[in-house]
Amino acid sequence: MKPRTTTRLRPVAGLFLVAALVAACSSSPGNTGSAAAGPRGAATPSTYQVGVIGGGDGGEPVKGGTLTFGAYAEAAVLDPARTIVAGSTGGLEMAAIYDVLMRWDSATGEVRPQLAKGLEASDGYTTWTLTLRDGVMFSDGTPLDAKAVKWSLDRYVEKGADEARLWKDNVTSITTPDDSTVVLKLGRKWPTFPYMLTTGPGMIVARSADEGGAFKPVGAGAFTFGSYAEHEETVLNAREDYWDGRPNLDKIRIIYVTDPNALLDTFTSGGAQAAFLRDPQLIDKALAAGFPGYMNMVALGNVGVINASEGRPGADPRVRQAMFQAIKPEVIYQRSYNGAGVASTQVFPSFSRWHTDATSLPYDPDKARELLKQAKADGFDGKVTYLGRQDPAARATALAIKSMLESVGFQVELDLVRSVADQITKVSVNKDYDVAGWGISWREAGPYGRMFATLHSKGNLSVGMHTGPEMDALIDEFQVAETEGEQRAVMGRIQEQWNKDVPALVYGPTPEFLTWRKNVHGVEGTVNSMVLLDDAWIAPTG
Amino acid sequence: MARGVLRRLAEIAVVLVVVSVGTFALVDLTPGDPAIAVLGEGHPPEEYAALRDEMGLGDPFLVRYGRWLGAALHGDLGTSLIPPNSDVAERIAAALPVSAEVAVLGLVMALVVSIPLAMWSAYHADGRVDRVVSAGTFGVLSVPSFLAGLLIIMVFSNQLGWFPRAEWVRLGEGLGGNLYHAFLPALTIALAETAMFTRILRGDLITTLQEDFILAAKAKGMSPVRVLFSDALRPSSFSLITLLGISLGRLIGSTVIVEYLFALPGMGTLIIGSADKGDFPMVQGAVLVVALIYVLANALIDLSYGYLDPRIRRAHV
Amino acid sequence: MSQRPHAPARPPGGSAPLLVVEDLRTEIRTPRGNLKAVDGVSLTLDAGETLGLVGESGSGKSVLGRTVMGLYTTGPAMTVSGRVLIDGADVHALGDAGRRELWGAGVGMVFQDPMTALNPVKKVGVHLTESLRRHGGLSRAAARARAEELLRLVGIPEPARRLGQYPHELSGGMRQRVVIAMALANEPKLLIADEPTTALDVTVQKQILDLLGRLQDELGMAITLISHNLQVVAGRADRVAVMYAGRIVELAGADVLFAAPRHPYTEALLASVPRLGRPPHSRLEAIDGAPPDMVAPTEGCRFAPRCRYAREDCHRVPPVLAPEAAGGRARAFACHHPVRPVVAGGS
Repeated sequence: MKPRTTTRLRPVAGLFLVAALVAACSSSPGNTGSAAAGPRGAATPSTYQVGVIGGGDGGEPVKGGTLTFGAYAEAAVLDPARTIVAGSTGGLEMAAIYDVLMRWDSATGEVRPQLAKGLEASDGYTTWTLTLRDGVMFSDGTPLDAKAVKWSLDRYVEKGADEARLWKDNVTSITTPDDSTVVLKLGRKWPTFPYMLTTGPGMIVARSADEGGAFKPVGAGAFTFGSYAEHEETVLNAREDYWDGRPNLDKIRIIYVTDPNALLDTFTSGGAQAAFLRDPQLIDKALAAGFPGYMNMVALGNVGVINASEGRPGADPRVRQAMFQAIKPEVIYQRSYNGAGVASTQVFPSFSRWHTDATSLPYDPDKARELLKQAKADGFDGKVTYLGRQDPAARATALAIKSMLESVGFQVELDLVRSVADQITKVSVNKDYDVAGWGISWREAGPYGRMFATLHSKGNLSVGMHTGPEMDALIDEFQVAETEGEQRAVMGRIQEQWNKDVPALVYGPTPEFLTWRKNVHGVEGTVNSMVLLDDAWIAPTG
Repeated sequence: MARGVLRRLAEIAVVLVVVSVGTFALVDLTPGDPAIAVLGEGHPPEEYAALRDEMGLGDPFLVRYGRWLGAALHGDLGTSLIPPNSDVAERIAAALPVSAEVAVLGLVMALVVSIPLAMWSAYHADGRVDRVVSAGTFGVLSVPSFLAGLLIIMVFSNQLGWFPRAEWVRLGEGLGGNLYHAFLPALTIALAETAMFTRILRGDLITTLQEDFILAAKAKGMSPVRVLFSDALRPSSFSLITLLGISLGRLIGSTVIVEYLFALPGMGTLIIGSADKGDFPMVQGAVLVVALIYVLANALIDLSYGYLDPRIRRAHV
Repeated sequence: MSQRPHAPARPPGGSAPLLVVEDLRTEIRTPRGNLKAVDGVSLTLDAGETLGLVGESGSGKSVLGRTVMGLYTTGPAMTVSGRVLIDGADVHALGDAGRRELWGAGVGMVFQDPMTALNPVKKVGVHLTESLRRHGGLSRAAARARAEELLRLVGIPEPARRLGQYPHELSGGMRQRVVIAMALANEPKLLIADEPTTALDVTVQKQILDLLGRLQDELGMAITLISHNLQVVAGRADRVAVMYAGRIVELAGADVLFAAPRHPYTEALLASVPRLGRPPHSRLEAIDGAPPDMVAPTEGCRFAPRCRYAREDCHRVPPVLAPEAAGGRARAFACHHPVRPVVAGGS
C-alpha cells in the first residue's frame, strides 16, 4: 500500500493538467492567421480607408439564399421614429423594410434618389420639391403617394424621433400638390437638406404600422418583416412587388450576439455572412483576413466631454485647454486597443472629406502645465473627476487619461460606472460630471445635424459642454453654405474655433466596419454605416 | 399525508415571497433607469421624471411590490417596461426552454459520464485509474466555468471547427440542429458538474462497497457490473441526487456566463439584460420562475429519497 | 452437550472429499505490515458432513471461511497461497468468471449479520430471484415461484407476501432465514455459515441451527459452521476444528473433542463455558492474556504465552498439527505437551 503522500500530490497534478491544456491551446497558431499579435507583438498601425473595401464584381447575380447578418446591437423596435437610424442600431433592418427616399454614395459624396424619383431645390435652397415614382406600393398594398409621405414625416416629428428637433426647427410646411409631389418649405437656407431624407425621415412608414395594438413595421422596402424573437433573431422576407423588382435574396436573418468576439467567430466560421464590427482590434482582424466590407469612421466618436457649467473645473477655458494639450491619444489607443484604431485630436482626421489644413491644438505638456498653474493661481485646486465605463477598453482609457493629466499637475479621481444607462443618466440627464468619456459622433455624410445638437447653444445634446456665440455663428454658416468647398472652408474655421473653445478632449474617430464574406455581392453603402441589400446576392461557395 | 403536503406548500410559498421581496429590493438598489432605455438620450430631465411617474416608478416600495404581487397571484406577470414591451410571461416562456434544455442536457451528459467513472474509480479505489480520475476531477473543478467555456470554444469551435459558436436553433425547428448547437454549451456545463458528481458518488460508493450485502451479492455469483449497478448504486445515490436537484435549480438561473459565451437567448441573458435596464417586471418574473423551479426540483428530490430508500418511506410525509 | 440426532450421510463408495484445503495462507496488507490472518491451514470435508470451526475473535476463522470460498483472493489488499479444491476445482486458479459460476451454483455463504447482509433498498424477493435467474436460468415467473418455495423451505410464514417486503420490515430471525434461503437458492453442495446465529437471540438461534440441520439432511449439503460459540457447534457438527492465531490447533470428531480435548486451548475453551449445574457464585474461568499480534507473531507455539502447561520448548519450536493415530483424519492436534498423555506413540 503506497503511503499517503500521494494524495497530496493529486490536486497539484490536476492543476498541472489544466495548465498544460491551456498552454497547449494558446501556443497553437492563431485562428484567423492574422498578422496582428497579442500584447507583446508589434502592433500594426491601422490604415483605414473609408467606403467600400475589397469585393470584386462577382459576375451574374444569383437568385435565392438567406443572408445572415450579425448585428452589433439589438434594435427592440424597428420604427425609424423611435430608434436611432444607424448601421449599429437596426439601420440595416430598417433600410431593408422601409427603403430610403434618398441614398448617399460614399464614393462621390453625392446624395442620390433611391425610393424617390427626384429632389429639387429652389428659392435659394429654402424650398424642396420631392418627386415620387409612380406605382410604388407599401407591402400592405396601399400606395406610397405624397399623402402617405407627409403622414409619415408628421409622425416622425410627433414621436419625438432622433432628428425630430432638427426637422421641426427647420421645416415649416409640408404640402402635397398632387399624388406624386411633396413640397417642403424650410425656414432657413439649407443646401444639405437632402441628407435628412437619407436617414430617419426618409424611411416612410405605412399607416397600417400603427393600426392594431402594437407597432408592426410596414414599409415599401425590398423586404418585409417576418418575425422577431427577442435576443435571438429577426427574419425579413423578400418582397415580390418591390418597385425595383424582387430582390435576389430570399431572406435576411439578423442575429444578435452580445459578445463581439463571439460575433467575429460566428462570422469567420461562416455562421453569418455579414457582421457589424466596432471594436478596433476585431476590425483589424477582419481586415487582415481580407474580408470585404463597408468601412466608416465616425468623427469625434471617442471623446472626453468637459462640463463647462458654473462651478465645474471645466468652466475655466484655461483648464480645458490645459487638459487638451496634456493628452496624447496614441497612448490611449495603445493601452485600450493594442494600437488598433485611429488616434487623432482633429475634429475630422485625414480620411474625411471634411478634413482641412486647419490643425488641432498640439500635444504640449509644458504649455498645459503653464495654463494649469495660471488657473491654480486663481483658486482652482487642480482636482478633476473623470467618468467612464467599467469595460476593459473604457477602463484602460480612463487610466491613461488619468496618468497623462496627473503628469501635468492635475489630481484625477476616476468614477467608473457599470452600464451605459448609468453613464447616460449622469452625463446627459443630470450633467453630473467634470470630464466624461463620451461620443459626439459627427456623421461623414451630413455632419450638420449632430453638430447642431451637440455644439450649438440651442442644441439638445450638448450635455454641458461649452457653447458660445462664435461657434453658433459658424454652425449657422455651415448650414447655409452651398457647395462642398464652401462647407469645408467653414469646417476649417470650426476646427479653429474648437481650438479656442475646447468643448471636449478628442481622442479619435470610432471605426465602424460592416463586413461581409467574399461570396456576397451587390451590397451598397449609404449614410450612418448602413447598407442597402435590395441588389445583394450570394454566390454559391466554390 | 395531507398535512405534510400542506406544510410543504406553505414552505414553498414562504420561499417564493422572500425571494421576490429580496429581488424587488435589489432591483431598486441597482442603477438602471427604464426611462432612459425608453426615451434615449438628449431629453430634458423633466421628461424622464415624467415618464418614470407614468410608469409608477415613483411610488413607495411596498405599494409597487403589492401591485406586482397582486397581479402575479392572478398569473399576470406584467409587461416589460422597455420596448418592445413584450409580455413578461411570454418572454420567459421563450427563454426558459433554452436554459432548461442546456442545463438538462449538461446534467444528463454529466450523469452519463460520472456514474460509470465513479463506479470504476470506487471499484478500483486507489488504483491507477482512480488516482488519475481524482486528480483530473480536482483539476476540472478548479477551472472556472468561463475559462472552461473559452477553452472549449478555442478547441472545438475555432481550431477544429466541429461545432458552431454563437447560433441557436429552436427545438421546434429540428431536433438535430438543436442538439448540434446545444452541444458545446451543455459540454461546458457538464464539465464542472461531472467532476462534482464523480467525486461525490465515488465517495459514497466506496463506503457502500464495504457493506456486507455487497459481499453477499458477490457471493451469490453476481458479476461486478451487476453488483455495482444493481446493489451499490441506489444506496449510494443520496448525495448525488441532492446535488442534482440543487444543480438543476442553480443552473437554470445562472447559466449566464455560458449563455454569454455562446450567445444563447436564455434566462441568464434575459435577467441580466433586464436588470441592467431597470426593467423590474421582467426581472421579478424571471427570478420568480427560477425560484419556483428550484423549489420544485428540490421537492421532487426530497420525494425521491423515499423511492431510493424504502426505510425512509413510512417516516416521510 | 447434546449428541447429533443421527449420523452424517456419507456418500456411498467413500468418494473423494468435497472440500480439500491444503496449507492455505492468507496475508492481509495493513499500514503496520502484513497480517498473517490464516497461517497454514489444511483440512478436508466430505459431502453431507458438517465441520465446525471454532475460535475466538481474531483467530482468523472468518478470513478462512472467505478464503476457502474464494471471496478473498490474491489482489492489492491481500495475498493468498496454498490450494482450495471444491469438488475438484481449484478455487484460486479459476478466474473471476469461474468463481462466479462456482458461487452461483456450487458454494453458498451465510453471513453473520442479517441486518447488513441484505440490501436495504431491494425487496426480499429480488434478493432471491436475482441469483435464480442468473445461475438457474429461470424465467421471471418460475424464479418467483421458486423464491416462494425457498422461503417456505426456510420456515418463513406467508412467503408470497414476504417476497414483496423490504428487509427492514422483517424481524432478525426472519432476515437470517432469508439470508440462508439466498445461500441455498441454487442448491449448493457446500454451505459456509459464518457465525449464522451470532446476531440472534437464543431461542431463534436454536431454530436456525435446527433449520440448517434439516436442510442439510434434505439436500445432502456439506456445511462448514463457523462460530466463536462452542454451544452452537456442539451437537451440530460431525467434526470440529479449533483455530487459534491463524492455525488449526486441534481437529477431531465432535464427541471426542468435547469429551477429551488434547490441546490446552481447547481445554481452556471448554472450561470457560458457564454451566447450569455449577454452584452459584462459582468463578467463571477465563483464559488469561490476549490473542497474539499476527503481524509479527512470535516463534514457537502461538498459544504458549497464555498456556498453563507451557514449557521451554513451547516458546521456541512451533508445533505441527499431527494426527494422533496413524492413517487418518480421526484426530489431530498441534501441541508439544498435550493435555492427556497419548497412550501409544506420543510427544
